Amino acid sequence: MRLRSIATMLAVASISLIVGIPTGAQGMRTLVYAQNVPVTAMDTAGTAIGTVYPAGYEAMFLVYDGLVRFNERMQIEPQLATEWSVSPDGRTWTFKLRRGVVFQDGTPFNADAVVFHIARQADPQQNPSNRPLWDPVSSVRKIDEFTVAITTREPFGAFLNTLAHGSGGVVSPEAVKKYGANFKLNPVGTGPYMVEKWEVGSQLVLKRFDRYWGTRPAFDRIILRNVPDPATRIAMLQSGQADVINAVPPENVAQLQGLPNVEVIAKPALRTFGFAFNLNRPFFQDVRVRRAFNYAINRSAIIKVIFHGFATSIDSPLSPFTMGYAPVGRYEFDQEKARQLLAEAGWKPGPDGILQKGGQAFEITILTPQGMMPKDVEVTQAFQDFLRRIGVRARINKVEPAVFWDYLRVPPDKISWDMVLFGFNPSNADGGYHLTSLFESNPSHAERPKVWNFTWYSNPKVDALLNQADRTIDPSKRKQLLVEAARIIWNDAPYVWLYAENVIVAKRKDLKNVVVLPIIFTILREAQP
Amino acid sequence: MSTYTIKRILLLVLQAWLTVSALFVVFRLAPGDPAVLIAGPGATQAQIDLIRHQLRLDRPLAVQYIAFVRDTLRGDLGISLSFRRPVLSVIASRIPPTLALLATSLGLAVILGVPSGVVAAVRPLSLVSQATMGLTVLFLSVPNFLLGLLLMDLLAVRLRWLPAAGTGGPIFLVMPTIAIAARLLALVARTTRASVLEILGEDYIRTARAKGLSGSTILVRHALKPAMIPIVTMIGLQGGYLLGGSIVIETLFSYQGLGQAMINAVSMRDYFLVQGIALFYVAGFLLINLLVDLSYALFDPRIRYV
Repeated sequence: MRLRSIATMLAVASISLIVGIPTGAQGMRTLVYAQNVPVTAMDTAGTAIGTVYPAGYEAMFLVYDGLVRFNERMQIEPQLATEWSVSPDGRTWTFKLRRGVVFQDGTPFNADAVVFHIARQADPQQNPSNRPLWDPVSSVRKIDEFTVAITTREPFGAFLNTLAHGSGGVVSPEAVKKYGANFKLNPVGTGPYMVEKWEVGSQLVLKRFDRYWGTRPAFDRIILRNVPDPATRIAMLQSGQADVINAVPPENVAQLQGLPNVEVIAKPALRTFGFAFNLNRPFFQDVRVRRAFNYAINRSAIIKVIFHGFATSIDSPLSPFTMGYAPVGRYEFDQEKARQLLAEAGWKPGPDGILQKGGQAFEITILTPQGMMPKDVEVTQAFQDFLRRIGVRARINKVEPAVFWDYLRVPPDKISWDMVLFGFNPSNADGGYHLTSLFESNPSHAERPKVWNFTWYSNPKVDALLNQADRTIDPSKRKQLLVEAARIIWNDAPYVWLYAENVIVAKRKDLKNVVVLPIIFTILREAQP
Repeated sequence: MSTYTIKRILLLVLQAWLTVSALFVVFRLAPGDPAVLIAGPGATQAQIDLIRHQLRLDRPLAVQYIAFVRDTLRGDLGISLSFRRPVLSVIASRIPPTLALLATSLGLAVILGVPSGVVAAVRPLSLVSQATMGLTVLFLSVPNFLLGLLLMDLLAVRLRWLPAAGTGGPIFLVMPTIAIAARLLALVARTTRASVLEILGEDYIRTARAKGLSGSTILVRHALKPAMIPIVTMIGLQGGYLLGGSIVIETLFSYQGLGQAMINAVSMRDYFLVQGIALFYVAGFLLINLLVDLSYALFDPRIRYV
């Protein structure tokens, strides 16, 4: 008797669970997004160690609004600021704020809130992360209830990018005071969805914020769930347990595209890859050798075979959606040209087919992390084979991701590799930030590279252009400067340029307005069933 | 409490100390500087040095070791880098789901494995026995993640009977349980069969039969109990496999237990979180071994350890 009633209860519970899975509670519109990494903390300030990427920012883009935002093509649009202007010296930005906006805890949104937010982000004590984006800010002040002025130390061309970045989300000053260090677990913004329940590391349940200033959000709930295994994310989408999934492996795209109710969104991301030369090595100081390497590799074959077509061959150090991009050149696959350039540089085939110069064989070491960048080892092996065909013998040194940076961030005389696979993602979508991080001359050869210029590339012309671009506010003038710098860098070939990775997201076909940004973020705030 | 139990628990303390020390050594030897990881890509050397100082990584190893042991004893496993909270608070909620999964897997393996092993021993030629033993070979040879994927494809994607992944009610336990239990079930069944077969050939069984005891009484009272020792030993030896399986399977089914937290922690390079979870896994392994050892005396009262 008792056993039977327990069994009945279990059965009822299981059935209600089964029924409950696809739709949630009765009549609730719920959107489930399966993410490859968990949302760990949701404070726009704080120490991001690159781990909350992309899940944390995706959650923050639902809860917070910035003064401005990126649209799908990575252009700047108004959000909490309705209009803005820049002073003639390019240092003071005046923003008119949107009226009638409240935070999710009821605090009114006004100039005081923006002043609090900007001061908090700019303070290295309160916000140790994203410093290159916030260091240029020197002060912020309230002009009236809905106008603020922000001043930068120097004219800062990429300032709007900083405000549109995930760390630009405006926080409720009252909530920050109330929760203190625990604000990261109790985020309060002005965005369309607010935190309802958060099992940190597992899933984040957001509910509609009824007093949201914009169009009424279409879902009652959005659930962000951590599903690390790609096969599982795909099964969840197929079985209706998830509506959107991210980080689809290229090899699974064809399978998903074959399904009637699934749509795949793929576009070039901002992270571009290449094999960086160690320019301190004598044999790489000849630009003909570096160009020869660029001609030796068949990018389209790599993209087709290793990435199943889901990577984009680049024609600039910058990805097509990065601000300041324009095509600056192509190195078409041409082994004859590569051999010829090498011959001009004095490299002649030896008896074993390996190139020689002055009795020295052309043998190099290529460094790659293992399992840190998409298909890193496969791409490096393909490159090794392409080099063999032009008579260069390459040895691959595969290292654990945890130690990879230690090989790059060393003074030039301590570099142990000749080439290294590397990809850089400008998190603020700005080409100036990308080029400066990788190609601006390092201050001292006795120290490690200032940012990521571990090739030790140095060209005074490029330095001047980048510096000028940094201080230029006018977007079109700024773009001209960046394109010019990119063209010089491209022709100097400190890298064997490869491709931009693709961001691949899959969703239920009838789900509308899912925006996938090339900075790898899936934006669900306007999604509609 | 018997002397044996006390000795065995003292041994556990020694083992625990050794493993904590081993963990310390392994994590200090592991490549990659935690201070550099915490500081992030844009950090200056001064920032890195400050973090190294805060984490006490600039002190002599012996001092670090004593602090590590002391903190571990106090339950202070450090701060998770990615969650920015104490490690213990991050993993506390992850322990019950993993225990539930291990319990259901072990339960399933024993509840199905022992009877089918007994049947196979008693009626070795019957169709059922042969089919079961054939199935066990299959279960032994299919890796758990593959079985998990096949189950997911069948039960979640095609038939839509079960949710593909997640944590929640008992329904979420079904596929992960089967995936983890399959191998253990097969081992239990085969060990039971071999063990029961051997005992059924013993003299005292013939005596029992001669006394006129019924077949089922002989089986349950005289054969099964001594047959349990090899089965329990085998389960104990497979404890490590169960724990390891839970890491793979929890990740596959996005089951929010300790194993998935471990994989996440590794992929996020969350140094202290990995260290903390590793400690729990090692503790789990030691406890399983303790329970196995203690249970021997239960099944065979003759076993007395001096």
